[in-house]
This record gives sequence, C-alpha cells and structure tokens, in this order.
Amino acid sequence: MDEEEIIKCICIGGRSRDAAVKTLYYDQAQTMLRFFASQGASADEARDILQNTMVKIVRSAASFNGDGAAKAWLWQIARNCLLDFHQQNSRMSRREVTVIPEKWAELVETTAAPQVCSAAMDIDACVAAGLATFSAAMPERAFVLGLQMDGLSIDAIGQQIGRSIAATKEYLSQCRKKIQPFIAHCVDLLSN
Amino acid sequence: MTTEDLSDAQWLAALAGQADPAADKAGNLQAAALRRALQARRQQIEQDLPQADAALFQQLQFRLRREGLMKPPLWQQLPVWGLAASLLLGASVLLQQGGWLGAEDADRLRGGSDQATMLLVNDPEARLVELLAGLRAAGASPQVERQAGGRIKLQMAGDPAVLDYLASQRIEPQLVQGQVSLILSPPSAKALQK
Repeated sequence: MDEEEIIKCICIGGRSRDAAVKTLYYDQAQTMLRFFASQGASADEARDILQNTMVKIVRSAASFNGDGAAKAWLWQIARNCLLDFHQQNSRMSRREVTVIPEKWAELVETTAAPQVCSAAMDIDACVAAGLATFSAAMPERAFVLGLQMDGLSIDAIGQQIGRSIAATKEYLSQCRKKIQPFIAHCVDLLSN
Repeated sequence: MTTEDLSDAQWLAALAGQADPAADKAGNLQAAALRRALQARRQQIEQDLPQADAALFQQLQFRLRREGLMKPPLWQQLPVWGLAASLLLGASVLLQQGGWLGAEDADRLRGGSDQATMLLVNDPEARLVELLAGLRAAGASPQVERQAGGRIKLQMAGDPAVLDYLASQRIEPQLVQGQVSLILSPPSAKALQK
C-alpha cells in the first residue's frame, strides 16, 4: 500500500482506515521520530509530535486533493506539527536567516570558526564539533545532509522536505555552503 | 553543468559514500569526514530515539478513538454491560415475584374463560370479609359464589365508586358489559409445596 492508497483508505473510514493507519505508522513513524529528534525534540517530545502528526493526517486526509506526492503531503504535516510544537513551547526561534547570495561570501569570511581546533585535534573530531554547532544552528539542514549521507535520491529528499527536485538540488547546494564556516578549517589539519 | 554544479554534485556524491576519484581531493576528504561525523551523530540520536513499537501504536489508537477518528473494537461497541445489567434486573424481579410460572399457572393471575380477575390470596374467606366491607361502603351489592377448590367469586356492577375502591386495593378489574368479576383463590396445593 503506497502513501496515496493509505490516504484514500483513511478517507473511507472503518476497517480500511484502521488498516491504513497501521500501515502508515509502521512505514513512517520511525523515520518521523528520527526527524523530530534530529530537530532537537526529546524522546517524549518526539512521541507527542508523532502522535499529533498522525492525528492530523487522519483528520485532514479528506483535504488531500491528489495534486503532488502523497508522501510529500504527509511530511508537510509532520514539519508543521514540529513547528507548532516549538511555537507552543515558546522555544521556536528563527535559527536560519535569509541571506542574500551576493552577501554570502562576506558572511563566510566574517563568521569565525565555532570551535578552536588545534593541530592535535584530528579531522574527524574537528568536523564532528563543527557539525554539532551547525546542527544546533540549522537542524533542518543537518537533517537533509543526513538524508544525502544515507544515499537517498533527490526526489526522495524533496518529498521529505516539501520541495521540488530543482529546489532540493539548490537546497543541498546551499547546505554545502552553509556548513563550510563550521568545517572548512578542519581540512587545514590535514596539512599539519 | 557549471563548475559549481559539478563541484556540488561531486561533494554530495562523496557525502553519500560514492566519491569521484577525479574530484577535488580536499573536497572529497571534507565530505568523507562529514559523512563519518553525520554517521556518529546519527548513532548518538538513535540511542535516545523512542521506538515506533506496538506500545506507541496503542497510544496512538487510544488517542484516535478518544478524538472520534477511529472506532473502538466491536466488542467494545456492543452494549454488553448494559444488556447484562438489564437481564440481571429482570431475573431478580421475576424471582421476587415467585419465579417463573408454568403454563398451568398462567391463567390463575388474570383473566380466564369467564374474564374474571383472579386474586391469589392465602385466606380467601378473610379477604372476602375485607372486600365486602369496602365494596358495600362504596354502594355495591356483590353476589358471592363459592366454588370448588376454596375459590370465591364476587360479581357486581362496575360503578365508579366500586372501581375507585378496588383501585385503592390495587385491584384493576376488567369491565365486561358493566360488570366486574373477581375470584378469590387460595394458592394451589402444588404452589404451596413450592
């Protein structure tokens, strides 16, 4: 049963809905929990957000009009629930600021390395420290880099982050640029 | 593909574990180091990550039922407990009234071929005295007929005063052509043995 069929069965109700909810849960819940945790949610918070997401999916399944990928629609709800959760807990902050591309180079130059790296620090430790800071500052971008690390296709990543293939390519390119201030200096350790 | 696009593609490929040997060495090294860091971070997250197991699914089902988005199992939908309570109540009322009656006892309480109202009393003669006193006070002149088995039949006009008096005795007789017939009967020997 693919995501579109799941949504259709949820709309039908009764036993079809029960089966669809079960399939949806066992297909997506673990990945969603991982996503929520990677975005800074604790284990309990991740459970709550997952439950809210599932309830919202069931409640609004009838509003899915079939335009676009069903999986992207499901993940849009997951992201919205995460956002709602952060807003409700007054912990939401706009961690990412929109940067004008022309100004990006200037920002890279003026952004100090977040961690002091010594020659004794190997490249892995340096990159891990940079990634930790980057993840705290831009958790969604760190999550997307994780999806790329998993070897997911651009299309699959796009479905999870609600972007088209072209937009996802651009987003990944931006992720590469945005992590540089946090890890670029680590490569220098290789020459030492 | 522009140089920047190529560079991005090679860096992302290296991040996915498929480094291009022709790509910039530093870029590949950085991507490989980031890959290891992401894997380590993933392992760290997985350690604290709740499992999407059956227990969590049960909690979800409970929430969906509570919000009316999922029906409870069939056995929970049936009014089993209400039905059981009603049956128990009915059974207890029947027992208090002397238990189930056999077919032969059915017409002893109400009606019969002559459409008289039959009253089961332990002492028909004593009850007759009480009723006659009340009925005469209400202006009635009942005809009294003693029958086999210790039964006593009373017949009188069904005047409103008579009906009022009988109602005060919790007797609601059937009116047949303006006449009221009552039969006072002792419980049968069989019933007494019970």
